[in-house]
Amino acid sequence: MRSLRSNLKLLSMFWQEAFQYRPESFIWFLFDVMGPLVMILMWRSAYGQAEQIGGYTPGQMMLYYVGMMSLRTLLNVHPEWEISREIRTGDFSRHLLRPLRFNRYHFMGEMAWKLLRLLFLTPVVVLFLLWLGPGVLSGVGLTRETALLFVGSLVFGYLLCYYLKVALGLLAFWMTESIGVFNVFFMLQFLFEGSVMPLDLLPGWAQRVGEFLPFRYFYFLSLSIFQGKIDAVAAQQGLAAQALWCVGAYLAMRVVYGLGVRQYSAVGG
Amino acid sequence: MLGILTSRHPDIPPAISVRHLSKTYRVHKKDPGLWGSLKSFVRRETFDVRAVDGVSFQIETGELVGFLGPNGAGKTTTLKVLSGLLYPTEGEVSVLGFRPWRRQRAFQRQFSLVMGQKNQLWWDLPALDSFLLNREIYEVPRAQFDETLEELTAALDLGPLLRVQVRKLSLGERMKCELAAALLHRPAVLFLDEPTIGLDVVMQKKIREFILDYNRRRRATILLTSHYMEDVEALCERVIIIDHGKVIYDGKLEEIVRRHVDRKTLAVTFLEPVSREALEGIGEVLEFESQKATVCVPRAEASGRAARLLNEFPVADLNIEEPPVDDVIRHIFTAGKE
Repeated sequence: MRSLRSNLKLLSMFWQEAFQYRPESFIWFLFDVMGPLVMILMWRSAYGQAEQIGGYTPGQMMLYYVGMMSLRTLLNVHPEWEISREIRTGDFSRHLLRPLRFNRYHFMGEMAWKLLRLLFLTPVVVLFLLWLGPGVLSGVGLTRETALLFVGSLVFGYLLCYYLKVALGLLAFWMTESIGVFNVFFMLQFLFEGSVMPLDLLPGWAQRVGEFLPFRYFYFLSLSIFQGKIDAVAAQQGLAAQALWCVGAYLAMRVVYGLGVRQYSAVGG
Repeated sequence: MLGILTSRHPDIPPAISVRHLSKTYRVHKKDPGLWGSLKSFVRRETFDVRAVDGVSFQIETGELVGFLGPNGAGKTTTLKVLSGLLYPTEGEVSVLGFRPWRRQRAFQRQFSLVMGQKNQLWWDLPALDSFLLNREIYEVPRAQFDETLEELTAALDLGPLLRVQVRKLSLGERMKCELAAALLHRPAVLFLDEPTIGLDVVMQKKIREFILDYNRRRRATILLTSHYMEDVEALCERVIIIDHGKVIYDGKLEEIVRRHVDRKTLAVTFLEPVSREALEGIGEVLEFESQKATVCVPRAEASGRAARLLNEFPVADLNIEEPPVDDVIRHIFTAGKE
């Protein structure tokens, strides 16, 4: 009960804080909108009179990018910047002094920012749907069996992205400047998360590389379930793999945190 | 060194106990310039810095102790070990019966560390929001929280500040709010690292009065570091002086003056002008104006020399004074360096 109350208080404080930076946040949000917008325009001209490309009808392809924009906006968290800043400046010490663990603090912080993003996203999605026409909704392939799996994949996708990014941020315990590692991570994420194009349209070798990486489980799996690109059995298998990645990422985060705090406590904040 | 290593109350364990504490940092060495960077990239040289070296002391429940030392003496490192931010390299540390570096919640609910140059308040929100968050994370019952907040608001004049964004407060106002945030859960142990740094004299005095009042009312154990001797003189009966990582004095503040200074000063005002040469027969003349002077004399002979002064000169007023404490402390630090 107590921790629920402190979580709600944290969420409300982060929300108030995020709300004060809404113009900046909106500009960042526009970056997430521009990519899919450009891709939709490109694919529209690429389709011409074609009925299908790579197994996607024009309606499915448009819905793919609207879905990708929405899920990326809501599930792609960024705790790594703040965590690495805290470690570099010594602000991380506050998490070691009070009975509030750093992970809960940052988790609630990310949630608050995502709620703000949801406010921005809702009217933009409505505008996209009005622009693309009702035909685009024919690409929704959820069934009663897969609806729950879809919700589950959203939760695991969010957690997987969060744990990995926290672990990434915690590298600042050892590195004076983590931005190089961040950029390598972001580059791989960009290539293999599915935001450029559906992953099943990538060349075979790239698809195989992507299968060994966690990025496809951020939101591509959810989108595949949502569009009915995979059946219930494949969705279950996907969810199981996503859950395993999630557990692995959580453990990696705990290990990096444990070792990092030992290092931090050894040399001072 | 005057050691206070055994508890004055054998039945009651001390609030803070530090035995043979040492803390060594490994520091990377790098020559300046590009060549230095390349060299350091190929072969990284390190050396050890012993920031704290065999420090021992005990602090009883309710004591307010000044922790003094020049920059880099090991004060903040010791405070960080006591609050659980650093692992000790060697030695035993216990605060309220806890090993601080285990960072148990039960321990964290009972102490606060206030660093004058760091803040825990949320920059973009009113201080009251940070206070309410602390109520939840420290699990303070609502009635107790309201009572404490009321007390703190009255003592620190927080009323008009509580609903203003922290970033819009002045440094002094922010420091008052920081202190309040640190005390809302009524910590039994309080570590204050330079709590009055950068504040004007009026605000320094207010914060000092408040700390003393909190110590007395709540019987809180307080360890305070400060570069302002006024803080230490106003608050601390006992001081621990640390230099080069070692405790060089642990005892009463007044004792330090007696032990380390073998002289007193006679501040005298005359009814009519006197000659400097004549005064030099009494002691070393530190300051001289025609009808006013300060004369330094051996501590043991202070009364005799004062009597001579009264007999031989037309004295209007005479004071026998101890040298200022910060002069004494400076003298001790300088002696330590030499």
